Amino acid sequence: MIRVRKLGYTRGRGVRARAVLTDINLTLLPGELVALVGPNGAGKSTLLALLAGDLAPATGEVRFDGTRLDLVPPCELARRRAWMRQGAGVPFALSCLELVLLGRRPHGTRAASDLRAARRALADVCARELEDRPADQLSGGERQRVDLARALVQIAGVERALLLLDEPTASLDPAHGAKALGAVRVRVDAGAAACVALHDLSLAAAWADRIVLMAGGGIVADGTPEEALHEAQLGAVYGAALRVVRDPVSGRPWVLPPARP
Amino acid sequence: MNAALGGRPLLRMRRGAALSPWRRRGNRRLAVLLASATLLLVGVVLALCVGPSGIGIGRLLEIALAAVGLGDGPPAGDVERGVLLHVRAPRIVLGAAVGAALALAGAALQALLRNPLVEPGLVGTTAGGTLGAVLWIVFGAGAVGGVLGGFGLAVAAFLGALGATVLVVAFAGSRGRVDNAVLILVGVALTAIFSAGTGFALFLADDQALRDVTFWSLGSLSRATWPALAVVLPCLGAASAVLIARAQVLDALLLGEAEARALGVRVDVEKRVLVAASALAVAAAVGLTGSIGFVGLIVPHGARMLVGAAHRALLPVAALLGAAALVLADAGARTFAAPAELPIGILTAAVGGPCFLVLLFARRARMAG
Repeated sequence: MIRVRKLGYTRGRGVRARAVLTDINLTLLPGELVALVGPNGAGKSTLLALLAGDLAPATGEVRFDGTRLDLVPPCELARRRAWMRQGAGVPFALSCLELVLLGRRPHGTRAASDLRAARRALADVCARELEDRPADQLSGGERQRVDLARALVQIAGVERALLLLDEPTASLDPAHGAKALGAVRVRVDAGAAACVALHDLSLAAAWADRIVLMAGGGIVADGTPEEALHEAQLGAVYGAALRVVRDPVSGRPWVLPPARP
Repeated sequence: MNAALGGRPLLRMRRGAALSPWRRRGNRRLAVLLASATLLLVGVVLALCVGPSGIGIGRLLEIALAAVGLGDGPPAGDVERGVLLHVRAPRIVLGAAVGAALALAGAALQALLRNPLVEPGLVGTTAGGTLGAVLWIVFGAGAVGGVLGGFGLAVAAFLGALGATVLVVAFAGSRGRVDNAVLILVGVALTAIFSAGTGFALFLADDQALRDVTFWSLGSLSRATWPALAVVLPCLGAASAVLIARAQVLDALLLGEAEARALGVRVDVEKRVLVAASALAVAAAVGLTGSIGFVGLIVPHGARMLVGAAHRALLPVAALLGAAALVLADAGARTFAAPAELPIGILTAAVGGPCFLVLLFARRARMAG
């Protein structure tokens, strides 16, 4: 669905130009949940913004179903691609339901089904009770769930949709985090492609089909959780002695922080 | 999309108690809309029957009944007709149109820039208009005053305001995109430069010009005449219509520009349209009425407290409240110091400020309790 070739992005101009991403090659397929992991400043958010079409690549290209991303009409893109940034919140008191309903804007309809879809999306992320709350008075975790609901409702009922999520679980408690990724998993199993930036490596290993490990603006590893998350590689990328064990139930990798000296 | 103005689609499909808060919200919004319209109507009637010529509410009713062939009072005489149709009515129409347009422009720019402190003059418009007006009063009126007649001041202010906005947007734009923070900062910088120009012109001005400038700057609807309205009303109407039609875009912009863009909003086009419409509203208003501050800053906030931030509900209420505010303020301006006339800007600030504080405290009490 998404094919990225030799993608590069540079911030600033002239002598102060700084390469943020270099030589990224990546493919996202329908029915695939790809976790984007890596240390702070590795370029995860920038990559997502490029995949969303909000930033224009300096080199290389992003193709969406074979078409160069900048040639896809914005309104058509908006119907198939939802992008959740690490948000800044809303300055005024939209209700959460109104905020989530904005996700239906690209579809142009204003039907009762939109309202049902919005409520379902809120329920999917355990935020149904927030629907009447002013969106400028939410806690960080609540806002994240509502933002995720907006992204989910944007692609509700859309075939072969693309979900780009930037740390959707950063402020969520473990239960809500799992529920949120479960909601993403449901869309992926229905044929969407998802690329999710995550800091919790264990959460990534538990939910993702593939893990893309980034560092310093490039991709270090791209494979199954077992392939991408092994101690030597994580140690090199994070500069810390992370330990990898097995989840006794699922058998997936479980990443522990460095042991106390 | 939302439950604005009764939220009909929501009501039709409601099922169970879960929807009831929305229904309440929709009904509340409708109630606020109707109340705002009523307030405007009351303001219009009040403004029609206050003034030095002594046509009171009773006489107004008689005239109205006589006009439709009812009642037994004498129909309007020539003087009364002149006062109502050519003195009071144009002021009311101008006040309502300017109030609505300023409130809409304020609401739109606050949403666009995601900043509650924005008022429509922020992007240099008011300062540019003031510079145009002051230049005209100090240097222009004497030199070419006869050529342009009474329109000269309005035209100078209008051109100054629009020119300033064009300059601000041109400076703030880069590679097709206009950055919000840069837009605000360029607006602040150019406002300072225009103020310096205004100050220098005032330094050179004589006493009469200074007095004229002071009165102009406090605002007045007294320059309202039908011929002037024929020019200004289309500007205000067009600006208002464009802004009201952007309700959904403004909702999306509340999420942030990148988010709005991801929802298919052509942010860079819409931003220019919104700034242009706001500037047109302010420029048209400033030309004829002087700078009436405050309405564009406070009324949108008041409306937001009453109906929430969703623009389909917010914009109509803000427009009605803005219109009512100026019509009522003008009625007051003509009453309190009769037969003299208070500058309207004094009243909008003196009455609007406390009203806003009451709303603010009421809201704070509700949220705390």
